Amino acid sequence: MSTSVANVPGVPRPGGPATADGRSWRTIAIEHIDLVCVAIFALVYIATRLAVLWRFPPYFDETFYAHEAPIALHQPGQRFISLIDDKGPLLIWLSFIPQKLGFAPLTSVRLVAQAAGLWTMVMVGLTTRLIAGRVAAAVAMGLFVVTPLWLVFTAIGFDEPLVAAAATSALYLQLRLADRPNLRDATLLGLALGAGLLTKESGKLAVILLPVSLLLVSWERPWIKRLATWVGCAALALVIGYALYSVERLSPLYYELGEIRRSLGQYTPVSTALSHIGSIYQQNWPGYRVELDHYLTPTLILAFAVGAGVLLARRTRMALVLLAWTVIPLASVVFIASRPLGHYLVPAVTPAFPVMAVGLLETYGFLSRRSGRTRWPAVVVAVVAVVPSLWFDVQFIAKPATTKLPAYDDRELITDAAAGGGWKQISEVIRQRTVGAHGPVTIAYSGIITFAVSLLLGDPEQIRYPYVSIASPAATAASFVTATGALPPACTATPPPNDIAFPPCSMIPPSRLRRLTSYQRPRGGVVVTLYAVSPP
Amino acid sequence: MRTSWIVAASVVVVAVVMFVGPFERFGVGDLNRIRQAEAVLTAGCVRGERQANASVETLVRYFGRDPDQLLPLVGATPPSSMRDQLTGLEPSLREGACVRYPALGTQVSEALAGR
Repeated sequence: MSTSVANVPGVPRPGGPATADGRSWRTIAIEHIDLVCVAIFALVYIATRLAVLWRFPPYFDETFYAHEAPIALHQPGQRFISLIDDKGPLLIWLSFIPQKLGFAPLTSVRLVAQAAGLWTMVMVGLTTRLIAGRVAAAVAMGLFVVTPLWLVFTAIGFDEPLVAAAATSALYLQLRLADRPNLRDATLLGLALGAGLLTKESGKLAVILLPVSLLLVSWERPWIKRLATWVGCAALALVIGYALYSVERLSPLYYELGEIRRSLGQYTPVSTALSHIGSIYQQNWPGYRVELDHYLTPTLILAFAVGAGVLLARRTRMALVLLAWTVIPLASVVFIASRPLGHYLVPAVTPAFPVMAVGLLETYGFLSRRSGRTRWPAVVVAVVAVVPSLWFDVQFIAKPATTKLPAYDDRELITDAAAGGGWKQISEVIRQRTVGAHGPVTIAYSGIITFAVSLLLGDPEQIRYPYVSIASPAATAASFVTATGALPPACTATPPPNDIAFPPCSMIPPSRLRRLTSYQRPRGGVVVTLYAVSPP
Repeated sequence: MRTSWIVAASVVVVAVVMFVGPFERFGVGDLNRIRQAEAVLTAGCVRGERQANASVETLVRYFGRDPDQLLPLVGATPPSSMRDQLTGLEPSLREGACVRYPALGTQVSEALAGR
């Protein structure tokens, strides 16, 4: 199924200085290009991700996971705590490893996302090698490493890189299984499906797409035996995946997931999506389109178009499988996600990398055939393909806290209340002012609750620094107030607990508050402020 | 030749979908304003009359027109004007506003989408 390097159009014949056994280093490097590329790209991947690991401001969602992570680690009864947010437990569970190694919870969930990205890169390479050979695999991995989509969303501790890792592994194994059904691949596929299901709802897409790989099963004789073997292997994979997913049944929260889902409203129900397809398209697609244009860049989108066309013409069934793995997840994201946020795109567009690689190689082959040369077409294609991505990457790595992100992501991740700009500075001031403090130091919050301050103070379980609402009676004992936006008026009565309809108010009179520091988030975004509370 | 045609067709389809944005009635900026107004109105509705008054001004600022002019867009005729509902002149109308406005952004976008 794989294509040798010598068969790829336009690839120079091996040559160069010889080694002791008569073969040139270049020959050896090209023979093992996949390993060489994995090593080089892995190094680049690790270096670029480490460059932003501690520098991106803590975004609300990841701080919530990081808040849960040590609780799940230290309290066996809370292993499934992530279900309260309708998320699977795998991200939290995998974060146990870096936590045990001594990393902070926020760093730990980010490291899991980054490791998932590295795994996905390898799986993208393996999948591409299966489809178009080793050179294409190297190109796909290179694109993966430089693409802004995977740089930005491995800087944050999201679930989506983990979903993508599981889904890309499932795609690779489904392609192998369709070519040659066997128990080993079926078992591994079951593990990949289970990992996706244990991560997030979107992990179900790899299960839904399993029948699509039937397109690749050969119908030559003895097709009945081959088909029966495939069905058996697919059934085994589904049983293993479901068995893994069923681990969630050990938690009482599993039986409340329906109610949790309804109350959170993170997804549009499929029936609603189908009956309001036009309006949901209008609300979500413009945002997603702008995000795709920036995170994938126009040149790679065009490379995808060329690759899809080439594959449709030459390997129609394989093209249909890859298009299904791209279009169906993308459509699900557009119509089912309640908000058009970029990280939802991560699992959806990752299967597009093999197609992009095919498109770029085909463009290179076309240019080299037309020009009769090999070097400058390679340079032109490489520059056009990666420079737009590199330009974005350089800006993001230089200033991760303030770089403008496309569409809604700029508000969500950089400028608005859920973003994390300013919490580091505020936490530092609190730390300096509480050195040597005896007993707990209560912090009250106004506006959006954030777990970032507790995490940055090294107190994720909020024991040393209890974090309470400014509207709660406990706020009267607070030493500090963190405010997102303006402070509410003073309370005229004690608000009932957990009554979100009660007008926001402050149990601390404004006369007791003294501003210590403020941070204005970029582009006129939210102002976060730290106040000291003076004694009554 | 067949491959060239398929590649050309694929490029055209992808380019139109990704760079032209077919059937889009308005852009990200408009959607951002709708969502911000939606959030402000939801918050104003929860907070009560005083903030709701501010919400009217915010809505005017976001949409560049009086909220009452949005009524034809959302395709509904409430018992009083939107401004009256927001300022909460009568408790029954305020209750209606609190049910109604959290979904305002969706209603406006649906109306603009031609539903």
